[in-house]
Amino acid sequence: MVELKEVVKKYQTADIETTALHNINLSVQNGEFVSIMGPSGCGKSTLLNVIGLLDKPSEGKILFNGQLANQLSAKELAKFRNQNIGFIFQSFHLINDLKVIDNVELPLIYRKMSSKDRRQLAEASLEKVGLRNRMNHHPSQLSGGQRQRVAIARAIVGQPKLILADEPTGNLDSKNGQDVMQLLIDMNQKNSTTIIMVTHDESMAKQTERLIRLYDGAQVY
Amino acid sequence: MIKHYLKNAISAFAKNKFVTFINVFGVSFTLIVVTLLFSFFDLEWGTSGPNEHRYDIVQLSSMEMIAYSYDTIYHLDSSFVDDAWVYDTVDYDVQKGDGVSNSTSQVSYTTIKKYLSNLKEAKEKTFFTSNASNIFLPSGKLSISTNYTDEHYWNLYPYQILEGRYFNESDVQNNKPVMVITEKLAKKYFGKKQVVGQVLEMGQKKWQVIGVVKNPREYEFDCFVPYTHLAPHELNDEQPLGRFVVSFLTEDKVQVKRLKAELEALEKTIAPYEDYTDFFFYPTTFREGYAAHLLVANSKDAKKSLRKMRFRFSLFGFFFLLLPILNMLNINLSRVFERRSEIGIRKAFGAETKDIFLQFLFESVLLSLVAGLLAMVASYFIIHLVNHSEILDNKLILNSGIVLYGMLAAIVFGFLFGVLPATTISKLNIVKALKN
Repeated sequence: MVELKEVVKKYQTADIETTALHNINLSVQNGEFVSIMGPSGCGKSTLLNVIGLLDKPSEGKILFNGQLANQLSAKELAKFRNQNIGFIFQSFHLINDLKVIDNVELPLIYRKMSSKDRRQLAEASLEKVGLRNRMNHHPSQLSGGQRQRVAIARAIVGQPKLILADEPTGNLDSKNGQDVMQLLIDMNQKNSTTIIMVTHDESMAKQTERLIRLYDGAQVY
Repeated sequence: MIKHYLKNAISAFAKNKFVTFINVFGVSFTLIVVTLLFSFFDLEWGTSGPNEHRYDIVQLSSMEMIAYSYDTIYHLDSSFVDDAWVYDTVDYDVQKGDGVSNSTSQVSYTTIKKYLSNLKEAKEKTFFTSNASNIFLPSGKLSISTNYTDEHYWNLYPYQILEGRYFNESDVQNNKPVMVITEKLAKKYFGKKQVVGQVLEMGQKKWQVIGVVKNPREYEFDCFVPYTHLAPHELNDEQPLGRFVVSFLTEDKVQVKRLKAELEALEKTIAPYEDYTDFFFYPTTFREGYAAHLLVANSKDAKKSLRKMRFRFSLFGFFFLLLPILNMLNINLSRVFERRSEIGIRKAFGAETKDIFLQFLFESVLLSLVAGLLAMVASYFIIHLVNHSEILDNKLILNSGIVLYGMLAAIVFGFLFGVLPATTISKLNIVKALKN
């Protein structure tokens, strides 16, 4: 599904060059649920951003189903992300000015689709995370757990092949965290969606099929 | 997509009510001023009613004649006779001297008749002059302005006829005491509008009203009579200068040029009058005449005045609009930068730079349109107040053209202060935006 070959990510400031990722080689198969762990600042989120095509690697290749993705134009990248990748963020990243249903519809806005179809898919997606009854609320009216479920609904509404979750349970209590984790496991098992999750929580990582550890931007095992 | 942009814009406006208010107020205020200026320009420069052909008319309201002083130079022969010099004139020579005397005024009826009657480049021609007279009503004296003209006047200045008819060639040639009056005068003099056939007394003469015309927005004349009723000396005076204005109707700008050239050629054919030997016509288009009038310049310098007026208006317009646009731009930039995280989210989920750009430009234009609508409503009431207070001689109006221009200005405003923030924000790096 996703393959990273000798990926390096460097950040350049005025005086200093920092290498955030050292020569990462990684392969994630279709339908796999992989977690990435490591101490703060080790490059977990950077790796996820590079895999999600939100950030370009300084060196190396990113292949999606064998197709070289990191040399696509900005326009092609936007389309690729829209069709193939769903994101879940630690701080939910919902648009507070929009209602829950409009937040969930967001990825579909950038597809050629009627508003009726968009609405149907968004409602179905909210149904999956158990929040259909909250679709006309605003994110600020929901609890943390509910917000993350809305974010999951948004990530899956476009039926992406890959979901990238950046500490999805990081801002939740253990009960809500486990509920969210269960949703991800269900998605992976029922729909064979490939999931790559960054986490700090060992117990969450243990529930995934494979664990990748990073230390100082390099893959440990 | 538009529905989504709209929904998003409304939410964004509602979230930052104060900033939205400042934005709307700023744009509205500027647009109110712009609309009032449009309304004033429409009054001054519009083509409604009798001014329908305003931009196709060349007016000759100024003519100059020049007389040069001449010096006589005597050539003498001298001889010494009986211890004294004796001078005899051999011959003499008359030469143009340095002294110049000139006179500028409108043209006389003689000049019109002799030189301006058959111009090749004029589609149609009329001439007119006016007199101020007093008429007497039971309530007191009323001062009115009378236009003395020919039957062609109505073709160049198509006043809307409400009742009756204009005077025609036969009325003019037969010197019939007929009069066309404005609706306003009809109401003042007769107390009603339906007055055709009635008699109005002016200048110890009885005039039969044959037509009533709608008052134009720009007040000029109260009534119109055939020019043949002017005092005989005004029509028979042989001197070139007089007090008539001649209007020529042309097809287009090319014909205006050709007409001016024809008039220039004609100047040389004018017969000397007393000591005056050189004659110049100063024809002006409406724009040139307006500029000369505004800048208190001579018709002679009308073209220069028009250039000056355009430059001054453009400069004023530029600085007048620059400040609010810069202000709005600043407010708009801070407003959109508060939404960096939203941009990151949208881009992560597939929005292209173009989508973000259009979304923010849409918001900016929408805001301006709302401000534009408010400005139109406010302008309507302000114009009503201005007209009611009678600060201006003529009535301002808010017609569909002005509303259209006002709304167009609102859209331009939206673009001007929307493009830069939309461009900047749409190019934001996704990761940086998400970290916000």
